[in-house]
Formats: sequence, structure tokens, C-alpha cells
Amino acid sequence: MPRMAYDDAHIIILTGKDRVRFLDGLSSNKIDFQDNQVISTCILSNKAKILGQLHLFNLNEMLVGITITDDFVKLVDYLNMKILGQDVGINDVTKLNYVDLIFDEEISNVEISSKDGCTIVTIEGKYQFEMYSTKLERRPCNTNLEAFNEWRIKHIIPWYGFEISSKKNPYQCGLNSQVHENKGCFTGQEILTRMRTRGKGIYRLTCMENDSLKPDEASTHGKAKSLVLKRGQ
Amino acid sequence: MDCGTCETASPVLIQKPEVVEVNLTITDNAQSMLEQAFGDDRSMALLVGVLSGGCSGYMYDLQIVETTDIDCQELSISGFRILVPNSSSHLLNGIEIDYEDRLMGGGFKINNPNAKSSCGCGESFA
Repeated sequence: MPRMAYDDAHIIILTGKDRVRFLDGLSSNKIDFQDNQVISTCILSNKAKILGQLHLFNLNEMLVGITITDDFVKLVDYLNMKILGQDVGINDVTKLNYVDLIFDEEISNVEISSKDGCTIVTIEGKYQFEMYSTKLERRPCNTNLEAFNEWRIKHIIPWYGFEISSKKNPYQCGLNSQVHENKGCFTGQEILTRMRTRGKGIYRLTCMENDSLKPDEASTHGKAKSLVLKRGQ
Repeated sequence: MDCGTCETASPVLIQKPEVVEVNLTITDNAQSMLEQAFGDDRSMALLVGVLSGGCSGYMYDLQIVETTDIDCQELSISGFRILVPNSSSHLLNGIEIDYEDRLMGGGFKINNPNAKSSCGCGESFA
């Protein structure tokens, strides 16, 4: 299977009895775990801009977040500031682990599994993060970002540095599935709800043939097709 | 994966906010409502706290309690016991607790000079 080293990901671990409530109040998706479930969500500023994307899962008494952001320090500072008196601890275990991205047409539907000291997390049934200790030998990687982008274009998956940035809110970069419409208040919710009810400023991610592209229209360029963010729901 | 529990991980230093001595005021309308809520029993206290979340990043949290495990400052205002958690004291210094008697959107309101913005329902602020 195609495997790519993904060193842009950070791994944080949240501990404490208030960890789920704490993150639920700050994130766009509902943090309500069923067994062995991965929840993908965004942490938003009060202007609804994306501070980071988190793929969350439970591991024993901890909450693990695979964190993708363009400013990790800013995100952690933001979370830190919001803890106030709640029973929440944050650990950064990025340096203790390698993170690889696995993408293929056929990957396991099991959301979280462990094998040979490696934790495998499947995101939306489409791709996987594999995390394993840096004490283990790094597994050989057989592909690169270009191949990953071709695969993303085919499956219409937005990604940090291409579609997603801290200058956008989830509705501007194709992350609509990570906004829960009925969960109630979360930081940035008022702005997103207004956008949704008025139907303004919302973009959808589409795949287009390169021949039909306008200049600078594509957010991710592929060999024959590209990803484009188009206005409209 | 290595979750760092077996050895030294990299704990993110939790920044403890500066504790400030809180001054707050309660409007006449709010005092009347507290009179109705407490009656003659002044052993109960109004806990005025802040939680993370809400549309703007912080949410007010009002509770009537007898005691609490939270590390709090206790104020006595017009005979009412008011508890303010030290962890959110920097966000609550100078607030005015008001009560708006309206059919829609009524209830206790916090007028907070520390808030740069607040959401439409007034329950959260930044």
C-alpha cells in the first residue's frame, strides 16, 4: 500500500476528567464518542477561522489528537488559555512517534487498531494514519506528496496547505462534514450558522479536468485533474 | 504508538492565569431576583464562573451552591454570598450582574468590561 512519511502531524494527548467536555466546547464537530470511533473536527477562533484540524480517538483514559495545523504553538496556546480551572492536561508526544499516511483504494474499515506497537487510525474510511514509537525502525515509505495529491484529487479530500488554512473557516475549504449543525454552542458557531442559513460564502470542493480550469483556480493541481473550491452549497 | 506514559513525555505547561482580586456589582433588579431565589437562607451562594466554549470562546456559568471544591474568592455583596473561581478571576473583575425581565432572552446578564465581543444570546464572550 502507498505509505508516505507525514511529519507535519503533531500528536497531543489530553488527560483529565473534563477533557471531552473541554474539547467539545471548542470544536466544530460533536465530541461524543461511541466505541472505537475516530472523530474529525476543527478548533476554531471566535471568528470561525481554523486554528487546527484534529482527528480524535480514545486510548485508555486519554484522548489522542492527531493534529494538523500551520501553527502548532498558537493552537496549543489557545487551548491552554481556555482550560481555566478545568481538569485537563495536555501532552505533546509528537517527538516520541513517527506518523505515516497510508492511502489506497482498499483500506480497512476498522477505525482504530494496534499491531506490532503501531496504532492505526482510519479517517472517514478513506485513509489511515499509522503512529509508532521512534524507538522502532522507521518503516520504508514508497510514495510522495505528488502521488498523495493525485489520490486526494480522485477522492476529493481537502488538505492543509492546499484547501485548508488558518485564513479560512470550514465552509470555505470543503470541511462541511466536520461542522455539526445541531450540537449547540461552540466557538465560531454563530458565524457558521449565519453562513449556512443565508447560504452565503460557502464553498464546495470539486474535481475538474485541467483543460476546463481558469488560471489560478485550482487549490491542488494534478496531472490531468485538479481540485477546485467553487462557491455554492 | 508511544503515549509517553512510560517515561518523560513533553508535558505542555498549563499556564495558570493571574489571580486578581475581583470587584463586582449587582444591580437592583438582579438583587431582587436573588432575594426570590435565596429567600431568607443566606447559607447558599451564587457561583459566578467561566467555562471554555460558547460562540465566542468563553461562557458564563452561574450556579447556586452551598459549597464548592473549586478554589474561589468569596465576596459579600448586599448580604449575598458570591463565589468567583480564582482560575477565571482575570475575566470577571469589574463585571456587573444584571437581570432583564423579558419574555424572550430575559434572565441574568453579565456586563463585562473585559469582553471584547460577545455572542448574540449574551451567554458567551471573547
